[in-house]
Amino acid sequence: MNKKFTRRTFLKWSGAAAATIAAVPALPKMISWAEGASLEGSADFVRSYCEMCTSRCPIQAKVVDGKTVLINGNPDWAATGGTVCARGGSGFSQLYDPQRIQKPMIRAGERGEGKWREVSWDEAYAFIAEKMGAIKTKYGPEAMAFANRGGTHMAYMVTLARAFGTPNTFTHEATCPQARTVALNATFGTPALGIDYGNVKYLLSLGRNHFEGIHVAQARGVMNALSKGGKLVSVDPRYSITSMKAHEWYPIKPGTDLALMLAINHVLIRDRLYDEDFVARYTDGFEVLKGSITEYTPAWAEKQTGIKSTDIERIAKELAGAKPRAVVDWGWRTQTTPEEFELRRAIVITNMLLGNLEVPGGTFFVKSPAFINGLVGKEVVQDMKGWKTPPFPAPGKPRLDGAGVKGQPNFMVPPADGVVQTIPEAILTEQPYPVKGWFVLRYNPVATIPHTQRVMDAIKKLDLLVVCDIYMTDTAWMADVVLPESTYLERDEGFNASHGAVPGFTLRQQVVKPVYDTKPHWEIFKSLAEKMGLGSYFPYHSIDEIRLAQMGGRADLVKETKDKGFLSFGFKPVFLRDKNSVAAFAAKVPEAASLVNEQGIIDKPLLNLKTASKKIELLSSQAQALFGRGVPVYRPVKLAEENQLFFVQGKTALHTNGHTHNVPWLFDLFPAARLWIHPETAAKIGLKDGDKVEYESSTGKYQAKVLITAGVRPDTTFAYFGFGRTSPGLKRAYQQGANSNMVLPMAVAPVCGTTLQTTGITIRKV
Amino acid sequence: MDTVWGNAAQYSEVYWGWPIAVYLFLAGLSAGALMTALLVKWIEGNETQPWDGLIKAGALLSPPTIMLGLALLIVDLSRPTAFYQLMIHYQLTSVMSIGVVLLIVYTPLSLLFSAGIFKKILSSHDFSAAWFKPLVPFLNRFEKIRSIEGIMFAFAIGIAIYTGFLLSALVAKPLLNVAVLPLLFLVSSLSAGIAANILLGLTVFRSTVAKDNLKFLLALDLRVIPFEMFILFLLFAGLYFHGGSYVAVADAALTAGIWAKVFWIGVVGMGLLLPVAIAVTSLHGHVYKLQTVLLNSALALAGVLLLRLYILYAGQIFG
Amino acid sequence: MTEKRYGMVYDSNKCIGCQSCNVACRAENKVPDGVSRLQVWIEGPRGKFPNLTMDFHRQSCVMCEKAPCVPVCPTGASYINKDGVAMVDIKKCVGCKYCIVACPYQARFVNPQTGAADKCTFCYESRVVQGMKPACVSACPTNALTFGDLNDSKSEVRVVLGKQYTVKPKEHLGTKPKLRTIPNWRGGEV
Repeated sequence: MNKKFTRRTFLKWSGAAAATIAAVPALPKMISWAEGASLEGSADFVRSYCEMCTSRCPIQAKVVDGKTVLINGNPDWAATGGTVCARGGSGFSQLYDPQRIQKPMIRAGERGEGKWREVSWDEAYAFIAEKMGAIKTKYGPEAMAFANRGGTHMAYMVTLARAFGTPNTFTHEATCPQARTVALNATFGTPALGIDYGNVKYLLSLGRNHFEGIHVAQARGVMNALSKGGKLVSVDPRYSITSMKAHEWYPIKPGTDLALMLAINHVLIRDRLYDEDFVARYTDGFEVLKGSITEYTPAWAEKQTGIKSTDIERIAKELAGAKPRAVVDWGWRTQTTPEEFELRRAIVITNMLLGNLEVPGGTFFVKSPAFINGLVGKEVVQDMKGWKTPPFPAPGKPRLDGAGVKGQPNFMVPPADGVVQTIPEAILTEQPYPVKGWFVLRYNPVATIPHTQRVMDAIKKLDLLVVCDIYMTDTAWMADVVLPESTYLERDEGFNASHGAVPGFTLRQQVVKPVYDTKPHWEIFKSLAEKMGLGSYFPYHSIDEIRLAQMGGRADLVKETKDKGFLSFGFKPVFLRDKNSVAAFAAKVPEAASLVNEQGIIDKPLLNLKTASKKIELLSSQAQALFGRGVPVYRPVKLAEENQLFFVQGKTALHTNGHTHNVPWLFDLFPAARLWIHPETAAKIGLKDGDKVEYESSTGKYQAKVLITAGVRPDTTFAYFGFGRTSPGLKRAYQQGANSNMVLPMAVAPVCGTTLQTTGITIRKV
Repeated sequence: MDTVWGNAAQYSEVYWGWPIAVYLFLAGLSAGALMTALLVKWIEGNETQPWDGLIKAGALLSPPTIMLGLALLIVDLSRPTAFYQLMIHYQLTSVMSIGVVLLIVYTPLSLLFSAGIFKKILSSHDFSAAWFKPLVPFLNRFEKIRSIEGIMFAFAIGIAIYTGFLLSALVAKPLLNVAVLPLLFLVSSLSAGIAANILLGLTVFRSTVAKDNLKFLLALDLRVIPFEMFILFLLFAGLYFHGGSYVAVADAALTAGIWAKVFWIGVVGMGLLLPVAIAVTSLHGHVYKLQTVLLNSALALAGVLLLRLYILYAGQIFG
Repeated sequence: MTEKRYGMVYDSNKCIGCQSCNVACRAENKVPDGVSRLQVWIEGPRGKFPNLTMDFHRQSCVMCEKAPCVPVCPTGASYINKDGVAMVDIKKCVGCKYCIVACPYQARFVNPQTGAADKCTFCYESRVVQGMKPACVSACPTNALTFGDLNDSKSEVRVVLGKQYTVKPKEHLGTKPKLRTIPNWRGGEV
């Protein structure tokens, strides 16, 4: 034996053995439990709510030994039962991450070069105020766009935007659930509906991945329903964990979900399996619907979807057999095809044919204070109040995306959300007018809007990009100014509406003093507004003042919320077409007693909807009049060429959209997504598991490793979303795993304005 | 599925690596060298000075090998500064703890044996006389203890055997949890001791090696090695007879990857068959060629080291 | 106080592999990066497209009544406490790793910060003695974990054991694990 006879040599040898022996594990990074860390904060549990995704689950957290923060679910919050998901539990590792943005910074080199100058908050505000002022002078206020992910911070951003004079405020919804929102709006005149998952007997899910796209209360609800003997059917081109837990999985051909739903509606109507009383009393347009689905037979749908007509018949009959506790989930991230509005409408219509509205185990209107107060005509439940501000200046020009603008294709898109992917288009084309500044708040368009290269090209044309975030995101990397917000554990906030089948508010409270030089959003916007001479729109001075104003001066309610972490009003879940539930509701709210009809239910709201017919519109009069899309009609879509594979994405329980991939613990759990490919397809291309490939669409290309698995259709590839980050500032996640938006095309779906998340790709080994 | 549960290196790490294998080898070598020296010493005519070179070789080898082994053992602890806990707390259910007891007795015994063999030279040489002379009375008293050599031999057997029990106590590891392992380690220890004593005897103390003694050891080795092969056969036969997952373990250990090669080429080929072949073809008669004897011994010694490495690694990997 | 015999049931059908338990454990027990006391492994999919299934495994200490890790420990650092929980006394541990190689369940590892053997303790000291459930049990969004005293016939864990078919991992080794698994209802678990 020579002296090179080291442990390493041995392990190299043994690596050739059948069993895998990993090398000696890399030295632990020890970011999380840094020695000598000292955190100032509460040693007792503080009630708050999570921000590792946007589900906002109530939590409690405390500082342990001045070194770490322990996060649990709020044990008093029934919907989560005090549980918390992996992302929620990892909040501490984000808090203490040295890769967070630690100070305000102004770009010192070329855009995207990564050279920064640390500045004071005041200097950052002054810089932004000056640049925004210049844009306003030269191009008008509408040349500034504001975008955020949505949340309690949104009101502050929108206030600043309106005060500045631009109508162009956006959320990320067009890249997420907007088709559902618009479809619900078109049908009910409101998008505020929910599903009572915990009591469903039969749940059909078209790609709604309850067990990976985790919303804790919903995941619990579905699992509870399954434990009680409920049936789950999953329709998804890939074998998700939801598909695994489901009783049946149908790997549908991508882009054909609408055909399946139309065929189910066909069977329900053909065999008169729908709830005839419900349809007759509460809906409008049934005859048109009936006429529209005659050709959509299960046999026809089998040709489109690849799902056997006998299975489609059976599913429709099983749904009908379980009604009204049968639900077709209307989805969350809803951009499988450009015909998304039709699909979501078809799903909503199925639910209404099943008559599942306002019954346990069905669908329901969100019982917000506004809903309940409106129902009884009196403020019986405290609603959230604002504060008096001067009137906003009238915007000189309409929204750049035409959301809510008469005569525009995006008219039916809620202007509060907008069509966010039109911002890069407007920047590049200067249509309908030049956009020169973009304020991005806790949002990451470079990672989450399709056609990444185009988004980056657009940003390069800007005079000003401001990003307020906690990490050096892909968008922040390209910014002129970066404002570090405090993480949710470090900041106090105002009230958050958290209404479901019962009304409720939650409250975010500071657990630990800011680790770095960061501030909460409400302070950032107030200071920035003051710098711009718009301080009067932000008349508060402290978080206490904000909270008290929101609760209409009720200090007792503020205190109760601070102690409990949430404000509930003692309601049991309210289902207006359920006798027992209505009786309990009437006992709780005596003013509602007079609304109860002879069947013991309250159906007044169902007959006074904000639709043209005041009823549930199976035929959307608005969509019919404006776009000729009153009832869902099948228009085949081509998502991939003959020589291409479909590329679809999905959620993992370990990461949220485009923003947790660099969080140390979550990165350690799931650092890099691979491209899933079916063994038959892999054999044809000549790929082995773990091979690196380049995948290319007409939009762009990217490289990743492949995972060969039977869990995806042979004509389809899959990758978990949000990987392959472009910001070198995300030192862990940078370029790790398969990027999706590099290859997805820019698209605006008719009526609902959503992006498109399916495309065709070719794959070659590199 | 993508791997979404984090680093899994800890589950496939080989926790007992080469330092432990080398320790097992060195402990066996020490015990084997001592046993061999004692065996030669017990041959008529060898009981008193002048010592045969083969006895001196064993006396010279035994203490440093066990001490080097112990040093490796301590360095390999993940809390080496807490090693004294091993001397404070004893668990007689633990083969390792029993090993500590054995080592605490054996190590000084091997030193005393060595000191006894080299008493004359140590008391006379300038570099050692000063500190060694005061110890001589004590050493003399020690040597007068009846059957002290028998006790030393017994402890040497204990050391060699315990290293086998250390591994065979691992109930979850089919390749290790076998009754013949202690015997295998004892026999291979003796084989290593014979080889090492010959090697050192013929290189350092050549002038004092009696040919008959050498012949005795070579003949002994020629019996020990086939016995070792027989035990190895028993070991794997046992796994195959056990059936179920044990068969898969045996298959993997004999056929898969680098460790199967180490076994067939290193342990069996180099360490067992080749020495036997050399012995049978070149060492018959009474004329030994020095180089052949040395080569033979070196191969046997390397074979024993590879056996320890193979058993330890394959035993943990194919578990 | 009477002695307990703490046990757990892992329902692999309710487990969704979300790693909430993994993270809760890390946070509660300050487990260093790169090593884990608890992971949930998702194996598969197996089968022929589209008739597939996956298997979910909880990878942690299974709390054997006859724990192979205990008798091998040379110093008594590895022990089972009065309530049936296998523990490590860090002060006595020399880091010989004998318990780690002895464990049939790969449940133990060297804690890179202390150098001592480390493993799941059912959160005995930080939570269970204070009347709380282990962190993983409290965190699990889908109630896949049930914890309690196996000596108490009314405990949640006994109720579940009374109703559900469970398996003990590697039972043939005679280790008598107190963590039991409700296997994949689709069968054929590997």
